[in-house]
Amino acid sequence: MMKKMFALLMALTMTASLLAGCGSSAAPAASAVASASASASASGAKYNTGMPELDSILNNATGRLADILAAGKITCVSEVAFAPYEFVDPDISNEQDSYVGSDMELARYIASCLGVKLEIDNVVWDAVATGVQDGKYDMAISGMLYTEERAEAMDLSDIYVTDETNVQTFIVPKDKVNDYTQLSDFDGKRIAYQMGTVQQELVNNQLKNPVTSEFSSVQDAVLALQSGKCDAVAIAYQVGLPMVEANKDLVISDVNFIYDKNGLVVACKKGESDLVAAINVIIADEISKGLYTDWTTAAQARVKELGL
Amino acid sequence: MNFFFNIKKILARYGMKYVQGTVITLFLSLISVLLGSFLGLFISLARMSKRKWISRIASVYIELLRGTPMLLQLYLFWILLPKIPGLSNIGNLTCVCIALVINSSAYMAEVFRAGIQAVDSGQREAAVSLGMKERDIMRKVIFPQALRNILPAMGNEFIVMIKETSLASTFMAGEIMTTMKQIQSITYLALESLTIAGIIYLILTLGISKLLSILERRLNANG
Repeated sequence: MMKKMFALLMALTMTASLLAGCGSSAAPAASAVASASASASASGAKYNTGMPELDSILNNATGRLADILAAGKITCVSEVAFAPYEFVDPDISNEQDSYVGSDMELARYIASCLGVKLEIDNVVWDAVATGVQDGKYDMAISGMLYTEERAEAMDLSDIYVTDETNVQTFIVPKDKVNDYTQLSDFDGKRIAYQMGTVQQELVNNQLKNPVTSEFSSVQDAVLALQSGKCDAVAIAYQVGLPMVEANKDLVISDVNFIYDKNGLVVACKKGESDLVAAINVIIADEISKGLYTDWTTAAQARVKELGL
Repeated sequence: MNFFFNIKKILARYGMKYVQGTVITLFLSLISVLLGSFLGLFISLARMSKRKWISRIASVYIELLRGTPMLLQLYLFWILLPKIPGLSNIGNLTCVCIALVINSSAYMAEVFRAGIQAVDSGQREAAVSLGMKERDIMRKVIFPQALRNILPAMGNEFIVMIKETSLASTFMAGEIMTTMKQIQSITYLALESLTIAGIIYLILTLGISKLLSILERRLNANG
């Protein structure tokens, strides 16, 4: 009973936070215009989202953004397996609605501001990057940290959340934690990480002679640690925290990588500057309202409920 | 034991999710074997065709699909299918299904060819000397006998596909490994969710191979 009440309450707060945004009055207007825009776009359709800057981008949309507005649908790709950023809520039967977490709420917010429908696709991390670079999807929101390599391969948005507590660190076995007091203690150790991540760069740049093993998912890397195949897993603090809570034999080390760019970004296909500009305006709006923090709090509460 | 306790808790809370995953795994493997057999039959006939170029095309098709990894094929279909005009809205599950069917068709084509060619050549000669038409020889003489060689191999392909469909979890197709990933990502209990998935796969493959051996015995008894 309590659980159901709580879920209902949370659903309500999430909806409320969405409605409080630009979604309430602007979205229907925008979508009504969007449906008529096919014929009216030449004469300059008027979008009224409540954000003047966004309106002017939408009114002069080119490229992919114009396609999105004309189709009335934006596609988003994500590896929905990183609570609380993105995870599948097993109690929700509708597939699209079951993708929850703070990143997924951001995707819904972006779609509602643009006045279009959202379609989320859930694939593994390698396929997230492939899918957005290839242009199969309009955007990727998947807890993606800013890196220079990514900025070269894709168009990245402004940072939508910076989490000071989300340092880049290690998970180590509980009985070994005192062996590691500084970063150089990890030199020459067997370190596991998820392929193509920030952790991969950090391990290879900041550690001397690490014996690395790469995994396609961070869960597999942790599994390798538990079975003694490696000495530590390089991981983001927020991702590692619930893992050590569920697995009592593991702890997070006090040693951190040297890293200060803990900002998450939305990725689009290279060259889609209009789409990224529109997303940036929406992100600025989200930051000024502090919505992401609310989404995270709600998501963390839900993860606690779902855990065993 | 914490491990078994955790497994019990996962099953109590998320058991239904594993059941759904099992249904999708069975659905995917059944579809790929059935449609793959249908497609494979025609490819095997093309492969055995007397016209050189038809046989050549069929053998290139078979070698391409059998010579490259399934995961690579899944990725290619996933990227390329939506680029075909008119298919831009194709879903991930459909892409995965098509890739599985086409992959399976190459293996089934070889199964059919082996089955057909294993029928004693005297059977064909006898049919020819009775004045039967080429089409009837295939349909009424060769194929019914070949079927007895083919059915067990078809069952094996089904078992192989049950395991191969796990690769579809790359695109979260909803089968058992996808379920496992989802449960693992919210419970953070990797070994436990993997163990449950492993047990389900074992039950499926062992159960089906048992069924097949019963079927095979009955086929032989009637032969």
